[in-house]
Amino acid sequence: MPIRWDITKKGYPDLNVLIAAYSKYFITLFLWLFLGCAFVSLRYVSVRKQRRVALVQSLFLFLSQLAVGWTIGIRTGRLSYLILYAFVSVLTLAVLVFTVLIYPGANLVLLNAMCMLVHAGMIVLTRINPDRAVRQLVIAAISFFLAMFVPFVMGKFPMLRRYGGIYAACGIGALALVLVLGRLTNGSRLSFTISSITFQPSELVKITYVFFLASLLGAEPGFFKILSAGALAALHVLILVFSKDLGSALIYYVVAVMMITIASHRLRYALAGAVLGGFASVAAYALFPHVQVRVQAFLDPWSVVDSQGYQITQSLFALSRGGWFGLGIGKGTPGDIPFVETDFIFSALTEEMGLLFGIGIVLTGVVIFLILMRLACGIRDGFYKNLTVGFGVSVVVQLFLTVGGGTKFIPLTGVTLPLVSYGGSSVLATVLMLYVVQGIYQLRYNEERKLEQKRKKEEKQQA
Amino acid sequence: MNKKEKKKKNNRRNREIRLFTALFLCLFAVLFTYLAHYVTANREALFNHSYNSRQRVLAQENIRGSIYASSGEVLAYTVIGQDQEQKREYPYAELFAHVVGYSDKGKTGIEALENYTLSNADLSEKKKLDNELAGVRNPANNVYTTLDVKLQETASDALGAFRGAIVVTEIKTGRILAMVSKPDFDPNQIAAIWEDVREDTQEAPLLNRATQGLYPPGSTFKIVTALSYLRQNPDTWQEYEYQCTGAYQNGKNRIECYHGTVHGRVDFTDSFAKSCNSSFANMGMQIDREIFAETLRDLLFHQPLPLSIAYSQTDVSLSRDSTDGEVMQIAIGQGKTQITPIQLNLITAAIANDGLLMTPILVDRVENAEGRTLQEKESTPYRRLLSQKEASVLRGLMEAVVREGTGRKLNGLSYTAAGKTGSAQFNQVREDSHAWFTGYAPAEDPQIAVTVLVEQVGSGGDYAVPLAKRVFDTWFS
Repeated sequence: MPIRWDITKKGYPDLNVLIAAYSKYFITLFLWLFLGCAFVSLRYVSVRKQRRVALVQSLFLFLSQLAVGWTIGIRTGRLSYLILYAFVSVLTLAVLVFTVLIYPGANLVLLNAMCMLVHAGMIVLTRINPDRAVRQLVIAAISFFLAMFVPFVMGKFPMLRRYGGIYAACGIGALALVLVLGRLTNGSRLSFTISSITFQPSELVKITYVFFLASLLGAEPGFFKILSAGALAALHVLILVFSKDLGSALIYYVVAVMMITIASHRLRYALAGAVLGGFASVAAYALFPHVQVRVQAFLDPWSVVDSQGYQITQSLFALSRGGWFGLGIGKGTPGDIPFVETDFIFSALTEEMGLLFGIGIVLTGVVIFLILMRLACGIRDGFYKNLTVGFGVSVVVQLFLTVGGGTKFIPLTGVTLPLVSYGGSSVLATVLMLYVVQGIYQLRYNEERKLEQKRKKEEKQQA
Repeated sequence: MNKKEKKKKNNRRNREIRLFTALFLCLFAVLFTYLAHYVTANREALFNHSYNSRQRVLAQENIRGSIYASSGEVLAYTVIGQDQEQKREYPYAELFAHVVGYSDKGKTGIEALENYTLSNADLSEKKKLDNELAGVRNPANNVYTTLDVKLQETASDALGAFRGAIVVTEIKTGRILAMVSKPDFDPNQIAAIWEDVREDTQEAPLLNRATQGLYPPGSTFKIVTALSYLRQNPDTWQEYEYQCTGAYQNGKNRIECYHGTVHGRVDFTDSFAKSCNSSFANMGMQIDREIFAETLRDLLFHQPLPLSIAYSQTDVSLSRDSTDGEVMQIAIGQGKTQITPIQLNLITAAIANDGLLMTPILVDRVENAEGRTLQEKESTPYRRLLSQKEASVLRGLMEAVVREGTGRKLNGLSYTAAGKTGSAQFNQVREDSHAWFTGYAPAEDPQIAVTVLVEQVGSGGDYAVPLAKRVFDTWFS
């Protein structure tokens, strides 16, 4: 793709020319500085203490967006792309400012990380399919808008913690509905369509699922509680298995096992879960032909390069093309991979932005997981602790399955890269989940403030 | 409760969270390591896969690099026609057809081996940018081979219209200096002659006989038999004696000397120098089959070769269950035994290099279009095929071949050569045999190893040795 802005007249070296050539190095650099800030911030427990690092981190986020937007503008020579990318920055700014203004307790590092992932997804989508990029941006905007209410609702209605049974019923009901009504997509019943908007309930049910487990388990659950929670969780998983959505089934399963283990402080549940999971995998392999196909495509994709191995081998080609710093935006051929916007967005990202950028984006997801685990360690309340753990595990397992699958590290399961992949339900679900976590931060902040005021009052009285 | 204790208690309370966090961090660390390794280690193989569109994209973006001989002669380069179509030119036409190969209709030879290098342009970002602004394609990297035009020309002329192959390597470095296979074809015309050459199974001009042609080794295999005997009798081999009556009989199995020649009383060196089949069949029957099989393995039979271009793996089946008849046939290089000229050349080079085989190299270095060296291939030892002492005994035998045996046509020159001839019968018609010679020179301080194979002409001494002589003459002139 030639540089179309009329730079030849401006003489060399022109700023645009230099940006077109060198921006990929800067974009990678900004991402790793961004990550550096994230890791520094993890040292602080208090959200207020990490604010300064978080602000520097936001700066790198915006610099990265500026560099990407500018490069896309130069490379395509179209104003519309530049405007689209300007909207990404506007959305980011709005999300950061409004969230922090409305909820002073919110974790800015977590917000930054979320916006970085959305930004990474937009790079690829703008490049592959601009229509979908616009759609994705609108979905992200709506998701963040809706999510703004989440911490407020959590503060207003503390009794939400009590409705574990209802959450379970809703989740099982929704999943069962999909199983019955859902249309067939790629051999798995995953979604249904209402007036041109397609829902993939397994993404949204993840939220009620974690809520139900968190509520039922509470703090230090007894054996009976664990048994009932486990049974209801198993029901979710089984419906997903029957819907042939094995990726989601796996995520749900791991989330339940880890939540139960952490809530009960009994490692034996993790061991039992691992053993049971092993047997279940063997059974799934024996029972489902499409599992066998996936495993074979994983073991030796080259012998079936024309058929089942096509996707994964194209993904490997894309990964290998970029090298450490990528081919540059617009210089690769990510469109070669079928389903690139959803299941293989990591490969497309790595092709044009490079291995260092791709790994950096995955690390950004890992940072979200670390932030959540860090928060969970400090929470005494069983329900909120369980919630945080559940969401954290859900995000990290999904991350691992997508990236591992697309790189032939593990068999392909066909799940999305959280916040990066194209897909409304997935983005909405992840944003809502992480705003529940922001709600927990806000609650903690409110509590701390109350304590502080009380202490000040006491000091005043003593004086 | 002080702060430290509180922290400790908190840690214990969150033991499971910490454990799972560590578990996931480890998983991702392994994933990233795997990914970085997989992608970097397989970059060229993935690039060369026909399903990867990158090749076609780069072919449009860049001008394929040139291939040079060791003294700087251009062996292949790309010109851009007026219609912006790229055309690959081979100035020496047929001369390097197999070793340099072609890049239209698939890729072979160095064109295939260095396809990644020849397709990519490792220029500075600034240079690439200048080219993009000027609207010109980037010149890709150039490959400098170890091939010597003069030797290649001599070898090709020597073979003339015969079918066969000649391989010349530099012994101490492993550099492949010449590699000729006949019949050949003009790679400039590959698209036009494609149907003809591909379907010609009789002449098989596309086959690189030097690396892919499998032939019965005939008497050149006596090097292997001699080495096996040497290994079994390290102290007594000099006492070996045999009375040749022109044939060796063992039960129903009978081995005859070439043209029924009666060699009379021969010792170990005579047997080798005069290429006495009967004596070697006798020797073969005395060799322990384990030792024989192990020697074959050591000399890379039925093993992968350290070669980066396409080659055939040689096949010799010898085991404890082999019948006496089979072993007798194997001992003189007949029967089902097969070898490629390149492998025989590598064995010869290893013997000349005190038993140590150098990794054969075809590419000396890779430069970008601005002349900056990107890659330099060092000479590295590949593996010791035989001991120094064994190599020295075999060299003595090979010198005797030239001095008083079947290779006398190389005697009395300005340099002293050494080697072994072979006349490999490939069917029942006795007169029809492939002529072999494999050897090196100078005997006192070996520089190059030359292996010659001429199909269906007669004895090695008469038809292969003179060709090797021409190659040696060129090298030492």
